[in-house]
Amino acid sequence: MSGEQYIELHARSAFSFLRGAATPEELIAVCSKLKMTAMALLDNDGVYGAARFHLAGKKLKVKAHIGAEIAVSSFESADENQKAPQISGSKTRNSKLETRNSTFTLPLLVRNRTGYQNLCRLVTLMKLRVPKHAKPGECAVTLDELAAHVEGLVCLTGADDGPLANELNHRGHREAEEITERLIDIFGKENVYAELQRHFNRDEEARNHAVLEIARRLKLPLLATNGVCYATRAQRQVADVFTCIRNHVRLETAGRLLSINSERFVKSPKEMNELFADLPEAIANTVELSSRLDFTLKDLGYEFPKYPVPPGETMTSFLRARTYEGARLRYGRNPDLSGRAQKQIEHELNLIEKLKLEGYFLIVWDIVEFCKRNGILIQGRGSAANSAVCYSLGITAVDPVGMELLFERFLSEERGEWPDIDLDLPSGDQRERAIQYVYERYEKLGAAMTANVITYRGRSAAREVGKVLGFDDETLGRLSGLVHTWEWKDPKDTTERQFKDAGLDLRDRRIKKFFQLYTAVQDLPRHLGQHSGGMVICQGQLDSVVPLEPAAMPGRVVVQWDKEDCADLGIIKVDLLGLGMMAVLEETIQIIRDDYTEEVDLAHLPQDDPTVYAALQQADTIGMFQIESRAQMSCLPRLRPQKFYDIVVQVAIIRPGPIVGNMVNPFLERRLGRAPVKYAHPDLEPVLKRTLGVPLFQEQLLKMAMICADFTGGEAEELRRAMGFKRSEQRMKEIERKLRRGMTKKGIADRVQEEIIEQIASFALYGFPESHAASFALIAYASAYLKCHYLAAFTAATLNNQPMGFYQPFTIIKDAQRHGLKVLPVDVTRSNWECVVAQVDNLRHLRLGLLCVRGLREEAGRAVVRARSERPFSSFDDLHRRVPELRKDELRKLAAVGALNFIGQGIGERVKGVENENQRLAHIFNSAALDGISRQDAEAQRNAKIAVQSPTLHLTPYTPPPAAHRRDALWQVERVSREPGPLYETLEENGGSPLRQMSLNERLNADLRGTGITIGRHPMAHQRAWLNTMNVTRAGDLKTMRNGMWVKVAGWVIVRQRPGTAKGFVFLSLEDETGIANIIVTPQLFETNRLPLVNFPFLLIEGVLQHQDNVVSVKARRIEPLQIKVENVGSHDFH
Amino acid sequence: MFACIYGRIVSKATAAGSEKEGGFSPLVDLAFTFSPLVEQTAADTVVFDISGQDLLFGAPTKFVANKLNAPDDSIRNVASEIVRRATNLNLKINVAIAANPDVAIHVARCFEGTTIIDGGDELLCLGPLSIRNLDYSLARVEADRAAEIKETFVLWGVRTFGDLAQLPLAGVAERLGQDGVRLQRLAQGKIDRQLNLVRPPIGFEQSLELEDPISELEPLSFILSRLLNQLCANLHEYALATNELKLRLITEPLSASRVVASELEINRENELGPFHECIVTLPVPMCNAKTLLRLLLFEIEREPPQASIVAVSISAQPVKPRASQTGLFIPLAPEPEKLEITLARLAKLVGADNVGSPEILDTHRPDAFRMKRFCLNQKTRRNVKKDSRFALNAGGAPALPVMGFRMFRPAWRVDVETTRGKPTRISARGETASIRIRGQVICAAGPWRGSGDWWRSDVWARDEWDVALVDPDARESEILCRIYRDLTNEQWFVAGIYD
Repeated sequence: MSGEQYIELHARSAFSFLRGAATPEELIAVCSKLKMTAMALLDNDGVYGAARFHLAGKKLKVKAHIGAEIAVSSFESADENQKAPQISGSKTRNSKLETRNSTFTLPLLVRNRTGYQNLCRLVTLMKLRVPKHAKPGECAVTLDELAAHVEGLVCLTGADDGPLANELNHRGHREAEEITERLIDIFGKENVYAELQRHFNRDEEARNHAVLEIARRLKLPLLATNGVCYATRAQRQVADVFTCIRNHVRLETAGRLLSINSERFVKSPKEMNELFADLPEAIANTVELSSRLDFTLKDLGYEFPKYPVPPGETMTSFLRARTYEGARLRYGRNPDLSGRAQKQIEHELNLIEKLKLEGYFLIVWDIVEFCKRNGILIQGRGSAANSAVCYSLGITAVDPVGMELLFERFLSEERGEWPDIDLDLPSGDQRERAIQYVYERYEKLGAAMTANVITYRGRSAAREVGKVLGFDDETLGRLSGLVHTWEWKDPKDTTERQFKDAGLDLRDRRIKKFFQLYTAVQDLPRHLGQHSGGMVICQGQLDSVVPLEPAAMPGRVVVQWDKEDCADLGIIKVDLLGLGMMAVLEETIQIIRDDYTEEVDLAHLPQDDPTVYAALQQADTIGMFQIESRAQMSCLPRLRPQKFYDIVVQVAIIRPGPIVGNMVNPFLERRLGRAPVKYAHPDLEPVLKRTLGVPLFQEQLLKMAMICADFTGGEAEELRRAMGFKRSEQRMKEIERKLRRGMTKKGIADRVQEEIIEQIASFALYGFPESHAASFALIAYASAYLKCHYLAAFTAATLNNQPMGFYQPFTIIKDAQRHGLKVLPVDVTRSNWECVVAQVDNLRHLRLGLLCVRGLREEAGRAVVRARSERPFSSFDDLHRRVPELRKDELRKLAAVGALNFIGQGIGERVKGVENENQRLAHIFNSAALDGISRQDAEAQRNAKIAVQSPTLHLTPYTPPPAAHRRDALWQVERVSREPGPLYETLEENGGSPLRQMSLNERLNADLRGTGITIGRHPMAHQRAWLNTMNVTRAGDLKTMRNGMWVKVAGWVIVRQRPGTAKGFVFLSLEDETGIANIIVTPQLFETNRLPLVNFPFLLIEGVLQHQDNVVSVKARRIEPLQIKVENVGSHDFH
Repeated sequence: MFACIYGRIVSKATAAGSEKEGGFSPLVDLAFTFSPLVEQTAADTVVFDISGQDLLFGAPTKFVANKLNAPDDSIRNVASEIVRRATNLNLKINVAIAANPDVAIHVARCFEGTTIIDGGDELLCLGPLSIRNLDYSLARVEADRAAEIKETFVLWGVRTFGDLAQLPLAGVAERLGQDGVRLQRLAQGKIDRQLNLVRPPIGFEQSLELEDPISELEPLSFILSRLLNQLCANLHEYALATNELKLRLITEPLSASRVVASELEINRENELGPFHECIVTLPVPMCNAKTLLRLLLFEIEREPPQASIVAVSISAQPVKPRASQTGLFIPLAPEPEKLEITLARLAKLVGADNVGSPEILDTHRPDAFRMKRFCLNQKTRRNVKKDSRFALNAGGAPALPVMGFRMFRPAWRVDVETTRGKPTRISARGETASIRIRGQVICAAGPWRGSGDWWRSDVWARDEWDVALVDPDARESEILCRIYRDLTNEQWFVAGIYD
């Protein structure tokens, strides 16, 4: 062995969360540079960075040893309940843990797979018995627990916070020797190493002397380590910043919490040999120990759980039977497809069998079956929709055989990767039920969510670094404000310019330091979150594959790796994703079932419904899934969908891939017949025929490679992945060469090769798989169908599932009103908590629910509905007495939005009259909203109608009911919500209020402030007379005007967008009482009008009308803010 | 009748003057020229009683008011006189006179110029005013409650004083309680209340203008003694003591040859005249004229004025006197007064920055400390134990033998010969007769590396060595010392020696 050999066996990465400053990749890169053949990563209380460390090591041929620093309590006994891990959220906690006073950090190295499994179990044990944000010291294992999990582990005596240092600092030499002896008892002499570190520190050297003495006495081998916390010396500054963040102090006040020098970087074997020249055996032992550590993550030993099948069946036979059962239902009625389908299914089943994936498909099938049994809407999406087996099992809803989808995009033998099935579920409780089912089915330690590593980025990084440097709040605000939220970044927007614009000088030492540190912390891990839906499953033994820990959400457990890490290590996952629209669809169907007494089956919706396609062609798609955005709406009239496949194309075409690849316009031109359909190569015609020669889907990309260069399915998928990730530049070049070789072999000309490669490269990353687009298109069609045919139910469900989609509830309501839906106000005598469909005179109206009232708690709202179901409220006092959950502020909110206007009138004979009056009011106001007529006119109409319809009423002028205006209710509410005292407790006030009624504008403001919506006239309708004097055109009238005309439009800005693909252009949607006007703002105009464009809710815009292919927009030339005082107006900005 | 002045100060000089003197605002001063019964409602609002001033202001003068309902001439004249005097003081004001102070306040705040309201016309005048102008503090409504009531008024559509005034009293009482009733009466102009009178503050300031300038300390001490005796007598009278004395010595203008340091100084001198000022902060409240005199004299001796003194002024910050009783078993500490005098003497000798208790700073930077003001240690032993950050041996581990280390401040420059970075021979430059550091290094431990404060301009980095030297010429055969190389400038120093 040469003297220059050394292996670093004690390194922390940034995955020790604020205790390390380098990524695992950086550590490996330095190792490789220093010709160190191996390294051990010992992150704090976990193996968070192990997956990335392993992969980086594999790439650079550095052996990645795995280990961890585990917090150990020196108390030896443990209660029984400590031993049984519990899911966080449960209240049980060991009192001894709270009182223990001595916790040290024990470095453990993994020798073999058993050791790794033990380490994972130890970490899981300690993590799961305390809540996520446990205090330091609470989360630790006892020596007894350690003793039960030592097999396959090697222990070091540790550094500053290790067991020896702990005893030497707090007790003495004898006690230090005792704890070492205890470790020897636990681990065995051959598995305990006396660790020595040298960071040029007096105290440390004194401790080393003590360790040497103990080691000699106990005959322990010595081991030199450098206790690495960062890869390079310069990263010490980041480590110091992290120390400050961890301890909530500033650099100026951190004092001796900071490190004394910069010596914890990865040192070369030469440096370490020099440092330990007096103790060569300590260096030699690093190599010896490294050779004993056989385990790497390659030997993870993960096995996907087996699905329990009935006796006499195997998983293969059971899957086959279920698949063919489903296939008969799916394809049985179509003999043309049936043959092809059977062939495809057989091919897939053979491959599944070969790859031993039957269990996976059966488990996903089981989840789907559970959802179906429990009435939970579920649909598979993503590449799984390319599989006929998935379709037959009911996992997906798109027929891959009928649509000729490419199975290899989902699964291929060459790729050696697990398939990925994403399941869409209704967001909220239903999804949680499905997740909890998986937990129960595979036991607590058998299933967990994947983690989501939250990194330092953007504003959070700026704020935290700024705080540490001691900037005041104002400067902090300016610094964090520098981080742009705009998706589009001006290329001229240099850092220097940004800082200068914010009034900060980069030449200033502190600002410069801030910038350096801010840049250095970018992308370093900050903490572990929970992935939105990814679940990993392992039959009852997941804690031996990766440590588990509690999530912030009660009842949830997460693994220590994110989904990429899991995928990289071959851990199979199922994504249970929450989709707002699924919840809307589910609720709409339920409402239709209850109120329309009709049954809608999404799987059997009428195909090619003319009403749906008419709406799509007119871009009348507000509230519809995936096709409601501004960009989608401007494309729809040009694409003019006529069949389901057009919707698939529509969903896929407005994506960064086709947009960046300049494929949108060529496709639309060809679709409109203005350009000929041509193919880069005649052989590509079968693949690209459906998309008129323009590749729009990832599957087409794969098929192109398969046809042009004779790639196998797996190779083609490899190509897609290589093109898809920036980090694979080398790989991309290699595969491009292979592609060119293949094409040359097939005699494809260079120019054509170039064109094909460009097409593939341009949208490999951002393009949609066709199957995924088809799955989304199904939901889009379903949402469009329900909106067109069951508007009231669909709108109610949409409002009940906010926030979701592209538009605010205000816009959704106005759109529904324009489609003829009558909307009834929030009313405590009639409204439920949710919005519902109210049937009046065979007409279905939408009754707003109490959930629309901002600041009203669900508990209080539901209590109102409960109390009312017993008997109507006779008065305000009655309401107050019977619903004690209602707080005073909530009563006020209800009164302010008019929800208490009809209290006391739901009794006896008056019920019917009031109901009618209520409906009539709504009818008149809704009509007024549509017609653009004034409230006074509406009231006059109403009086006239009442006079005609009711012979008993026409003799007397209309008088409002006792509490028919909001101020009356507000007056009453103020009285009932005060403690009256025993004397006046039963006294009820008679007589009206002395307050004047709310004006029209006051009512509008009260509605917007209290609910964010109004069922009355649009705010712009109030200004129409004034706008007419300025020749402002209504949004609805723009489509009747000629292209190129100079127009003025005015409206409420409901959406502001500056997409990354639009080269700095800004898109606005201005809403008025007739519809939405689309505005295009050039980058130059935006720069000169940034303030009004960003800050003002109402704008007056002049410009040139662009009216082409039924797409209407205004190219802005002048922008002016409109001074309209309306409260609480908001917009969806910067998507 | 009550008059209210609402106004702002036009001239900066007037404001500065009033603040400088620490007296009332000019508005209060102006009000005092009319009546002793003055209330300062807010910084910009004073209200005062003008009843019974007929004899003083009875004579008719030429006057035009905004809206006068045939008021008495005397009231007109008072209003006119207020405006006249305010104009002379460079004050821009609104004046309102009414039978009710709160009506006068609201009207003065909302109407420009001068307004006189006859009894009975209050609501007529207040009615159209926006409810936003209603001063809730006048109705003794707490801020939180006021915010709640304001929100209620917005919801109710109550926009003016008139809207509120017209609400049924019982209804308001039921809904808003007594706060509501008071606010309604306020809006109606019906609250009858006493003024919250301004009282002159107790002055603990003594000053004396001298007939002849003094340039000697001795005569000055007589004058200071006289002033301090009076000041202490005043403090005694109120059973108070002081913890801060401010001495201001107004001096003669300096000779033309003197170069004034800065523009700021010129401005100050232009405004206030040349002066010398010193502040003596005391660790405990004192009221002993002799002690105070000695402290002041030490201060003047330490930093004497630049010119002869023409006026002297001493002000004392009044605080409660120290009340303590020494325990039977507590060791006697020096009397605070004596200790303070001793410290002042020391400060005079070595400079104020070099007296006090050293406090070690929490940093890795070697030898970082600061001098803090010396005071008797009040910490109990238990408290000291808790502060373990500086404890060398916080736990129960047996104490290691500790060597004494004699630190050189400042460190001595030293020439060091090295072999492969390790010192082999050194020769210090700043030797004294008693210590001589030079010779062959026979044993060296290190380097002990430290660096820090990398975010500051005074970043530090050093490599320390503990070396044993043999110098055949020295009295001691072997010297153990600590040397270090400053890595920022590559120079060697001796930090100190081990005893």
